[in-house]
Amino acid sequence: MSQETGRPSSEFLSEASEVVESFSRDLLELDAQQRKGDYDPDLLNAAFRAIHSLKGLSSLFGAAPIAALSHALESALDSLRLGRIPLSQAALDLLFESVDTFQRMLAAVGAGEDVPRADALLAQIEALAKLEASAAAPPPTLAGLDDAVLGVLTEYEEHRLRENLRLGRKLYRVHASFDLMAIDVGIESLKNKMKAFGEVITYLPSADASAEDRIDLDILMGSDASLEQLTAGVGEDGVDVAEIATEREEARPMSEPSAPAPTARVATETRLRPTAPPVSMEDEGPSQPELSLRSVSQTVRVELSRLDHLMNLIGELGVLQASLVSSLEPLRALAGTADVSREFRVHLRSMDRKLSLLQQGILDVRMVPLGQVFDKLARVVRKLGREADKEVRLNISGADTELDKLIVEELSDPLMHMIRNCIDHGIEPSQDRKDAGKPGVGRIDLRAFQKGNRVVIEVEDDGRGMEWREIRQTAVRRGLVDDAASRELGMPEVLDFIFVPGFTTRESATSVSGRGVGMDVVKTNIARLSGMIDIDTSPGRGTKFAITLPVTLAIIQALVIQSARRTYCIPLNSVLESIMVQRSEIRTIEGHEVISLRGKTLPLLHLDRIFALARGKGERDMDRFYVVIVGLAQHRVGLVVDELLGQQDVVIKPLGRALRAVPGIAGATEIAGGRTVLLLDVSKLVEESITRPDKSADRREVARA
Amino acid sequence: MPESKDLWQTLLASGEIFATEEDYEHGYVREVRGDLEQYIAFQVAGETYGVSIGQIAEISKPMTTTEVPRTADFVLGIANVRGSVIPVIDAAARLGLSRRPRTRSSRVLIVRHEGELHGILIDSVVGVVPIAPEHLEEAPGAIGGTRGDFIQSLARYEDSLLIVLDLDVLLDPRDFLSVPAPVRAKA
Amino acid sequence: MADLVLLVEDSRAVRDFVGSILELAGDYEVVEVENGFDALRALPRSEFVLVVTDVNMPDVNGIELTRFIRQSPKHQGVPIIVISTDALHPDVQRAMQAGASAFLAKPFSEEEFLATLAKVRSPNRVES
Repeated sequence: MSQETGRPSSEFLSEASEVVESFSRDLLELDAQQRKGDYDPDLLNAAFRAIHSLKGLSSLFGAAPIAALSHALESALDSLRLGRIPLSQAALDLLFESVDTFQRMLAAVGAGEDVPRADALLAQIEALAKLEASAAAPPPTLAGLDDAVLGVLTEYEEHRLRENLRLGRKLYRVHASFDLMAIDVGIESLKNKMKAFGEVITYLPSADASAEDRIDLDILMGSDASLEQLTAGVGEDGVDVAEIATEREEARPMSEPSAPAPTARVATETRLRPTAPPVSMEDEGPSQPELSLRSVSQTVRVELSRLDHLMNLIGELGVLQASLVSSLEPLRALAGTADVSREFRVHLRSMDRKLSLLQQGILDVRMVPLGQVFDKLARVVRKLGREADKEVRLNISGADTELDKLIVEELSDPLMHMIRNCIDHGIEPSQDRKDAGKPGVGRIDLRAFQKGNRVVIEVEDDGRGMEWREIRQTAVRRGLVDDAASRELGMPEVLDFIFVPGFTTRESATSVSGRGVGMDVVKTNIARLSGMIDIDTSPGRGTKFAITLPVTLAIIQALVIQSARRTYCIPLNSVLESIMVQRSEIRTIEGHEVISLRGKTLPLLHLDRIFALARGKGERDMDRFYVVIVGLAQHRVGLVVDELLGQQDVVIKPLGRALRAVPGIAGATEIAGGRTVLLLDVSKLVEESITRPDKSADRREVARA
Repeated sequence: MPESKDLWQTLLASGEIFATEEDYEHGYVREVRGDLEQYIAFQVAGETYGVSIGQIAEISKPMTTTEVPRTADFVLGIANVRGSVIPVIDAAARLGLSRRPRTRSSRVLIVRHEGELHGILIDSVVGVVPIAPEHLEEAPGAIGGTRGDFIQSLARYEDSLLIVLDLDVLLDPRDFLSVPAPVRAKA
Repeated sequence: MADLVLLVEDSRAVRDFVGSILELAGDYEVVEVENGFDALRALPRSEFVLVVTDVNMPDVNGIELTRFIRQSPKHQGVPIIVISTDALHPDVQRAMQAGASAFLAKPFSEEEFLATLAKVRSPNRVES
């Protein structure tokens, strides 16, 4: 008799997605631990609970296929956590596959489409669940616990008790008394201490007759430590530790400070496995307290469009405020208004401060940790590694680095491309690696960290690297550059060629083949986020990609400039410096205008020329120009403009589909005064200057020394 | 035609500007016939065009536009409308007709297409016209200077012809960029 | 004055579902908590006419909570409905043995919930 509720609600979707995400994270950790030989049973239990929740959720809200899959998985996971079937790689594969399936199903629900069935997967899971291990040694008896206690344990908790005994651990009862209101805090601290010694199995509450605002807890745990060690580590005022003997002679030590001398003899004898402490996943960051990723109890899920609306309003408020300030100017001249005017300005300053805080507050709301994307990538690595039959390990650090949600979403495709290329073409097959003296398992490091007002994401492998000389030859072969010029190029410039669309070199089966697939798309995506991508490679040793991104998109600092009486904005992130230059300083080398800056040659781009901006008749030729120096990886270019109008915060507004593809324009912005002004796409302009010479190259003047 | 700030509202409110003979024959035909589709009729270079009312978000007086480089001639630029930045095109230029100078009756139709707003500059608004399905015809090749691609159908009302525009073609993003970006070949 | 119900359930969506049934069913005010600890904290604060709890929860599970309630002088007689995803699971039996008044297996309909509610709140119910 299932509940027919019609279309599942968005609360269902949002909670179901959270559960699947949490399940996936647990699986990833389990996977890593299992490969090392021993895994934390708490993780498996958490995975079970997640699917159990999902089953309850989806059955209550009428999502039958999801409920069916959850039901099958729940049985399998129950058998897994009760030790009836072993946690093998094959089992993990099925579990990972179900994550993908759940996500597809939820997407269908969200889109209002029919939810796809997963009959094949269901059959495989049911087959797995039937693989019960042949009966092992009889489970140890729990004679030391009275029935009152045993009766309130769940089947799983009972299993964990027996399991601990089977592993040769001792069972302890830790008794503690807590102030009811502060119970969370008290428990947290005690729990952390206990976890260092072993496994916490359950909490048994009992009422404290003496005080209504206090509560007693008996905590059952299993540990290898001795009673003295445990007491020393965990005991404090109000906390007592007693060992639970598994023989019948034990009394009920509810609140005695120490138990009678332990004569605990375990019913089954030997240790079957060395008890290793729980292993954490390869995490080079500071070790995380266990719950940090998963405590989402105080969060709110928000539609991004609502945040955009708020951002818009804030941006407009900012513009209004600037307008207020400038409107006040004339008042200053009026006699007798000095006091009022001053008061006004004080208020305006205060408003300005509050607006900044508000702005920052909303920006912070949009921030999400990169871990979202990194988790997905970890799954991809696992899958691709197996498909390509290569051994690859992914190391993640900085998963809690935060970026604007939109950026994080846009990053997942480019990063996926890069990792795929890495596995397909960067990491060599295991035997080749060993022959070359490298470890058989390839390594991909995925790192994120904040650097000033930017975030840097690095993807580094220890694979075969790229032979840049071959890339250079290929570029010449494809007519992208002539032979002579190509020899002038250094490694960084040569490496840029892999970003040219279609730069795949299928003819040669070397390190370069296939690397170009999708890289032009990657670069476009990154540039669209106002980011830059740099490459560093060492043949035989590996390759590193570094993506630099502004922390947020919606409001940025921009440099406002003017050229041929049109106003444009340049993201300040991309500006290296701005200088004033006299006409006489400009030289022409092979048709390109350049200036000399601190001993280096800087190519120039005239904005009015590249945009074909008509100038009015009678506009005099200027003697001096402003040059805004922008950078793209190793390339620097000077944009020649007429005027610099200052820096300000601007709200970025997306251009519609129609104008999104205009090369050189990244979007529109609103500047103080309410004007709509175009935002330049620096990386595109720089790229154009590299691949297409400035139209001023009509005269071929010999370079003046 | 009342000159009011919110022309749109006025038109909607006035409603019965163009009742036909048939309407009177059948009494209040608008209530009886549910299948009449309403169109906004407007003038461009002396010809009368129409766009279905459902596609129009607003009719506004011409606003300041910011020029965008590297776009086709018919793209006037971008404008800030209701907080969004929208592209604004010149209907005459887009349709390949001769441009007329702007007058007090010039308006910008703000249309909704594929979820986004676009602005179309026209010479003047004629009014709201209800058209019965039987009065819609397939378009022959070109009409006057307007290429057939842009025409969705022809409608007869009173003694004239209303050229109903196909917004999918009119607002095709591929045409917005100027050469050398690839341009869709026109028939 | 509304009657207070304590709802112990870690799934947000299920809390909404049950909570809304209760609120529509009568003059009930629902106190929602996510886990056993929070339930322990909420209990001393008020007089509850009903406790609805999930059986399978980490740390303090529904069985332990039931026994705690039955042992505490203040709440001894409160009807307790336990929710589980599987009626035949041994955990449900243990919960009943620990003193639960009734159980409901997910998925259950609004009607089923209301019927169970009526049964446990009726004056002639048997004390566990």
